[in-house]
Amino acid sequence: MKMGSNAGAAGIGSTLNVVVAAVVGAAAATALTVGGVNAAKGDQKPVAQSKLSQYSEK
Amino acid sequence: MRPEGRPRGRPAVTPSVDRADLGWSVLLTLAITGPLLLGSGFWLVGDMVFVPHQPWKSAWLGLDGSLPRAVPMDAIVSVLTQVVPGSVVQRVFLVGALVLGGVGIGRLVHERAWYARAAAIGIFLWNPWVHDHLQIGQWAILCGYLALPWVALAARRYRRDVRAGWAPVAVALTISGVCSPSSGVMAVVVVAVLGLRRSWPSWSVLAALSLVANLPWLLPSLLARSSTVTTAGVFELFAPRAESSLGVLPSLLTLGGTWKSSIVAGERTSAVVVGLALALTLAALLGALRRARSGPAAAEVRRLAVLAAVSLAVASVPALGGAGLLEALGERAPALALLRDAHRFLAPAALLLAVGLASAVAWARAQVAPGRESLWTVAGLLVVAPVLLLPGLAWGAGDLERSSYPADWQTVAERIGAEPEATTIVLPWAGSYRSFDWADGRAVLDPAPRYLPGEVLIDDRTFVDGVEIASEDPRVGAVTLALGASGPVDVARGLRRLGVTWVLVERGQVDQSVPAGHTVHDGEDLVLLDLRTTTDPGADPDPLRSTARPSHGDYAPLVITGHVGAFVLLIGAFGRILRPGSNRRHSSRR
Repeated sequence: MKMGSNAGAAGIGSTLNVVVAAVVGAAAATALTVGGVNAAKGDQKPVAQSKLSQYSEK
Repeated sequence: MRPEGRPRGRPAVTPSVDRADLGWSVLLTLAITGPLLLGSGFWLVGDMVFVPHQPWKSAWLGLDGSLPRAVPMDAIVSVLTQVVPGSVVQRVFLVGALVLGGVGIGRLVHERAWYARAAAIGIFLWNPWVHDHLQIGQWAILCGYLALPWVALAARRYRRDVRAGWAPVAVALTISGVCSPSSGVMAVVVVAVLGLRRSWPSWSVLAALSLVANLPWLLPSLLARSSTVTTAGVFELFAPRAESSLGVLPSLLTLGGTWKSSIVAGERTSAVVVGLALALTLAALLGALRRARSGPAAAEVRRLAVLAAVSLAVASVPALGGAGLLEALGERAPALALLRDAHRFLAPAALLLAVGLASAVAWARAQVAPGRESLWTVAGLLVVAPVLLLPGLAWGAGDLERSSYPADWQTVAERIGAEPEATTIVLPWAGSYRSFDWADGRAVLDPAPRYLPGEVLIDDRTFVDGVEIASEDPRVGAVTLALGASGPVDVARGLRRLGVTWVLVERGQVDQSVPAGHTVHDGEDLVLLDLRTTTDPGADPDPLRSTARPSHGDYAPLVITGHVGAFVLLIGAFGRILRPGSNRRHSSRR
């Protein structure tokens, strides 16, 4: 019985490891992908010349 | 009992700088400022204006009657650039402040293991608040933010023992006050919340220290009768804004939400990224909650939570319908204009997030056991999450490039410097921000007042999203009137009556007709006109010079006394801290 209990605990532990690794991996991958794509998209051009410069401009 | 997350054998008190904290802080700092360090030139963006050599002017001490926005920081920069080039000064300030900020937050959670401290350092140095203030060019306010961990450490010591703690508090408050008025005020609030006890000496000593430490900007502010500050519409204009579709509150809870939408990092416009950042904030808050329940630091964490709540409230009021109320109050108390850029007052909340995240990482690590080894990845993810969620801060906050002043600037500075008593006005007379093609076309505060010697007057109106914020300087109105005359000769005559000698025209900006004058320099970027050679000022000259302004003549001794008082306090407090045996005694009283 003890062997069975240990095997059960190991199984739960293994499942927990898989679940945690999957969640962490998904969060990191999402952050990397969405963040990276949007960071690249956010590269704005300098403002045009010959117009009033405003504090609110980049 | 061994504190959670701290390895066995590690001393409870670590007054020296931890090498891991230093290394991680340096690494993050280099990842941010790398492009600045790889060559010559300056980062010129928004309010961040450094010049090769900033000539000394009484205005840097707040003696010209104008509002002391950069007093006494301009004085310090001016003195430093007499010794080393301004480009070096800029690098030392930015790099030094970031590294010291990281080391400071590491010391605030020194009882934690290295990975937990790394998480605290990461979220404190790498967040939207830092990104936005770097991109907006508010470098001195950023320095004030990076001083906050040291303010908190000083407050911790002050709370234990007023006699042992007054000197660190004095140093922290004075340095914060030097950074900016808002930094000075924030530092006082941080010490008050974290460091005060229910005792008369505790309150009275802090009140006295706060007053003296902030005199350098406080006195010129109170005595600047010739300048006016406007609060009309500014709270609405500078209210925090939502970065993503999630709204303004999630932005603020993740330390973002600047009013200047044009500089927001691209990834922060994504609801997914802000949502994940919100999860990180939640993890930090849960960590803080856990730490606030028990243990020796529980009381301090509860106070940090109060501080964060106050910061969030101040930052969010204008964005959540309170702008009108603030404006109404500002009409009666103009000092409230200090609160107009509410986002900056979110800064103290970063202290709670850093302490809380360190606690969350320590908790995740403590859960690691056979069968649960993957929880290591949770701890690891919390450490690197701030960087993953804000890649836009890497390598020059995304896209900051170094710029070098064209040779015209030095030529003109030397020409004007030959007659340092002369007054110069800068055209185009169209607000205080410029867009130079040699500075990547970014909106940057006109460098002329800092680059050129003598009295240099620019149109200090500010335009934000097409809305004009009125000038604070009464001299601007007089020049505007003179520039509105019918012809170049009349304009020149009007300016001469105001005592103007030079007119500097910055090319590549909005078109504006120039007054009649002798062209002294005609370069690719700058034109310098001498009004004396072609015009006669006529009768009744009414000079613009600040020496004629009341605050300079009447109040200069008082303003200087304030500077001396703060300086003496700083030196005295440093002396007290450095006194042999002083630090050991303080540490042993934990």
